Amino acid sequence: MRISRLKLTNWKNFPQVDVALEYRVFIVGPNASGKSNLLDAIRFLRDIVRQGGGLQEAVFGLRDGVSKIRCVAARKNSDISIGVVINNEKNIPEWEYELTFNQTGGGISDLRAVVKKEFLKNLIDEKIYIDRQTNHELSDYQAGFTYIEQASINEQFRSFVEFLSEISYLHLIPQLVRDPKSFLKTTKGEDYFGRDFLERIQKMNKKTREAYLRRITNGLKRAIPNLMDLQFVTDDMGVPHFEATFSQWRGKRLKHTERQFSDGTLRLIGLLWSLQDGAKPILLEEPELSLHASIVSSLPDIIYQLQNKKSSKRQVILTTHSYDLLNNKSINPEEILLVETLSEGSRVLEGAKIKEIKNYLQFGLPVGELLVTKTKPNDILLDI
Amino acid sequence: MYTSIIVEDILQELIIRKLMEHYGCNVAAKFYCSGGKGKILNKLDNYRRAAQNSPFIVCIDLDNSPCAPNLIQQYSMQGPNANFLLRIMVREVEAWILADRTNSARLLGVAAANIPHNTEEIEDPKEFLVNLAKQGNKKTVKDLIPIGCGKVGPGYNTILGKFINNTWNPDQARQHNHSLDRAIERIKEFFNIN
Repeated sequence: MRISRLKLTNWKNFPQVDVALEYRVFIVGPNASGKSNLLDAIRFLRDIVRQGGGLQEAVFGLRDGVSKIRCVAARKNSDISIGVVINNEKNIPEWEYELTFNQTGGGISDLRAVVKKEFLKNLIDEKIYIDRQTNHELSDYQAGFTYIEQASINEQFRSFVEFLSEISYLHLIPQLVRDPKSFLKTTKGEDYFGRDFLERIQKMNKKTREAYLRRITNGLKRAIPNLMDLQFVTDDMGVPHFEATFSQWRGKRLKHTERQFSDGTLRLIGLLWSLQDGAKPILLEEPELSLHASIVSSLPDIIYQLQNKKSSKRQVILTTHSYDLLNNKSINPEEILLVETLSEGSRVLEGAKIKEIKNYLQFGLPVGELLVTKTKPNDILLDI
Repeated sequence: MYTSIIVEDILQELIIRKLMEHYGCNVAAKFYCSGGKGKILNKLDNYRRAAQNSPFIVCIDLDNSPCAPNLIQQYSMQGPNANFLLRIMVREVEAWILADRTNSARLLGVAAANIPHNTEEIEDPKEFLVNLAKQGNKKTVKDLIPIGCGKVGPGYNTILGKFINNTWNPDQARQHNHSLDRAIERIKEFFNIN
């Protein structure tokens, strides 16, 4: 299952977005152009439907309120909207959803996010499950809740809600994974950041965990030459750890836990693990960080291989700055989204609609140099 | 001391590795993927000079460039102690792959007769290969086919990489592509001498 279309109005730095998404999506653009904000729109929908979530939590608890979410270039108090089209396992468009919201309150009254419009249609049987315009609703109070977050209502479109709630986001911070004290910090649910990564693995079914470990160990061994084995263990205090065995000089063996792993090793383990775990879309931020260039240039292929393992093909949406990654010739123009900063916010261009990209790929030229050049900032940052 | 092998992309790397393994060239070698033929051509002189100190093999494909032998003559050092070997694939690595007609045809789900006896004749080997995949009846290679307006599909490196590693037969292939046949001879010579 995948998100096949994403539409945004006034979301953060994007006045307007309407793009098609493939099974692999490579979002490219200069720093601060808003690549992460695109991923955040998808996470927003996930935050609404997951346990303990909801519209208010997504807007005020996990983000900084409607004013900070709304595009600065938009007219004052404009509505914000997010829309998605979801394809099923047979890759046929099945669900179309759109949410438009704003806020009420201010001054003495509390700020509250309110639904202005909400629409959900099943594109296969053409049944409309939600068609809501809240000027007709009895109280502002009810307008503070989306229908998709309400268990009593969303039974009828369970599969849509489940799809959204299982979207994962990986932004592994090696320092947090290594830090034993972060074990006690609050986790963010489905997001992998730090210590919760290990906790998630600990909660898994043992057989599945061992199968994943075996698969990724083989991949890791090619990237980390003297790695012999990788295990998952629990210490006397019940704290979960990775334990790696490395071959050393003179045949000695060295055991390390994640506390001694390098950033690169941790990020690679995190990446390979998360790509296997689950069947719903995964969002990745700059997977190239801390990784050796040769691994980075194979990442699109590694992603292709891991996303195709299950019976249901898994979508991977990532942001990247990497020349090496983008030079991979298996990347199709339809898989590229280019974020461009304009004077009034940013916009997203589909690779398939950009002449230069099509041209390069048609002639077998790698698009790394084109994209990274196209996205270089105009002014030189330092003027010494 | 190891041999530096400069290639354009992962498929070229895998095919050279396969050749070295198949023909018993057990030397320490490091592969460098350059990200483009232009880059390699610009540095050919530099590689040739660096080869005075350690062995270099540079591999590029012909595409639409002029005649292969002229290019090679221009750049290769002659003589039994030549440390620098430039090999050119005609016309692209895909022509070398397809030159193993039996196995390629089986991979793509088509009859071997669809592949010319001399794969050097194929104008655009990538396109040719992708078209065979489209015609063929194998679901497992449908990801060789581009999604839309691209040249190759998302599974391209993965599917062909696996094929090169596990199935592709250089002994068969060299009979259907002269540049491959010559490259095998020169590579064998190169490593025996060094």
